[in-house]
Amino acid sequence: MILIFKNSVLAPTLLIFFLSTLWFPSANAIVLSTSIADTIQHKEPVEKDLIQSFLLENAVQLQLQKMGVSPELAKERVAALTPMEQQLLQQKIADLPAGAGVVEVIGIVFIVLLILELLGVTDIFKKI
Amino acid sequence: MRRAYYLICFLSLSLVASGCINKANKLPPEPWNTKAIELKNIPFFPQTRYQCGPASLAAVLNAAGLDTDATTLAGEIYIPDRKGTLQIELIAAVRQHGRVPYVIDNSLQSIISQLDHGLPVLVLLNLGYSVFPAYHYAVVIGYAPDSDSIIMRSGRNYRLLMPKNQFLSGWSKSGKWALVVPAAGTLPAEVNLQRYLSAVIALESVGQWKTAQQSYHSVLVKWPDNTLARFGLANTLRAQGKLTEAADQYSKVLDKDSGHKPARNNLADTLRHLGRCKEAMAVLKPEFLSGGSAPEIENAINTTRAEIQEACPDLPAMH
Repeated sequence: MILIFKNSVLAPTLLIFFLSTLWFPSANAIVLSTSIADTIQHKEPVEKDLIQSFLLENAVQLQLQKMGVSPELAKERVAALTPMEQQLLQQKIADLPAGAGVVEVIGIVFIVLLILELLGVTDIFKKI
Repeated sequence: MRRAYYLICFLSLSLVASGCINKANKLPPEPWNTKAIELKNIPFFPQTRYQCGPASLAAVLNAAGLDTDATTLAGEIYIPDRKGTLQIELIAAVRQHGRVPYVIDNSLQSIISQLDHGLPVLVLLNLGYSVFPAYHYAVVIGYAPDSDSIIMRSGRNYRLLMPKNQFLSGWSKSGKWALVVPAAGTLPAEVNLQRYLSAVIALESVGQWKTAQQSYHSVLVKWPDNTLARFGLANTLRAQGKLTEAADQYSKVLDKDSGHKPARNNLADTLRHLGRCKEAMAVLKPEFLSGGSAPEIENAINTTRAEIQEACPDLPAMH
């Protein structure tokens, strides 16, 4: 928590958020979302704690930024994820499979040369 | 002697690395009996370095009726430091473009079914080993029986033929993940309702109301008695301000299932907004609300009732 509050933008934003909920008590109806009726695959948390949501989104945005995504794009991308997906990303961003492309076969040439060297066919490498 | 020793060590290691690991991945053959198929009109976006994700996604989104390209999509899904694209961001991007990302059943036969239905299949392959993975996204567009090959748009290959067993091996090592993106308002082949509806609910949670509405509607055309889809339809209509239509759909849910408390709450609230106070209050009559329910539902109902009474002070209070 200490780490989060060192962020100079986050602390005042949270403060304003807290104050506004005290100043303007919510008079809105509670419309129940479709996920609450999804009794079989009831995966998403039903009661969304707004503070927690905000902190989670912020954390994931920072992670994406650290991985080279621009702040504006990071914000959009995190907003496109469900809370569960945000959680998964937060926990596993470094470990999840990242599809990249066909493997570049640089190493093959080296391996072939190494075999030839060991067989005594060539004499390119000095130490072996 | 030393050279021979090194050579033996190296070759043994290679054999272990390739042989043992591959052996562990040997699969029982899937029953197979299929004709030639190729979706020739699927567009091609040759990938740039590390960007098979954007390239593959561009192909399936264009096939689904959108006009986008790999460069645009890279900003939405590519992670520079990971040198690649994650599956969940691919799925999120499909939603953002107003389409339903549907993960299909994990069998080769399911891929063929989607192709028969006219849908290209975006797959994740592991072209390396379990311990040294090399993940790659490609788009399956067909099958060639003559060479027993899967036809793909892959990398910088407009038309790559990969032997079926090699494909199966690479696909298995990635968990047999495959995605289709149907055109707006259409369903994929072989719909698993639970999985499909979960994908549509996720659309709601990121505010893609119109797409969700269309998708629920598609489900209801085929499965008119599906309460979850109808409740979802009502909610998406309400979210877009179409209150009268929403009220109508909530009522239909209650016709089928009078004990559906979320629908009851949302209908009462919608009727209040429409100024139909008496009807709103009638929806929340105690006889309809017997039995316990989750705190958030009880809380919502109590709040809604209080607001109806506040908005319509002439009505007798109900307990």
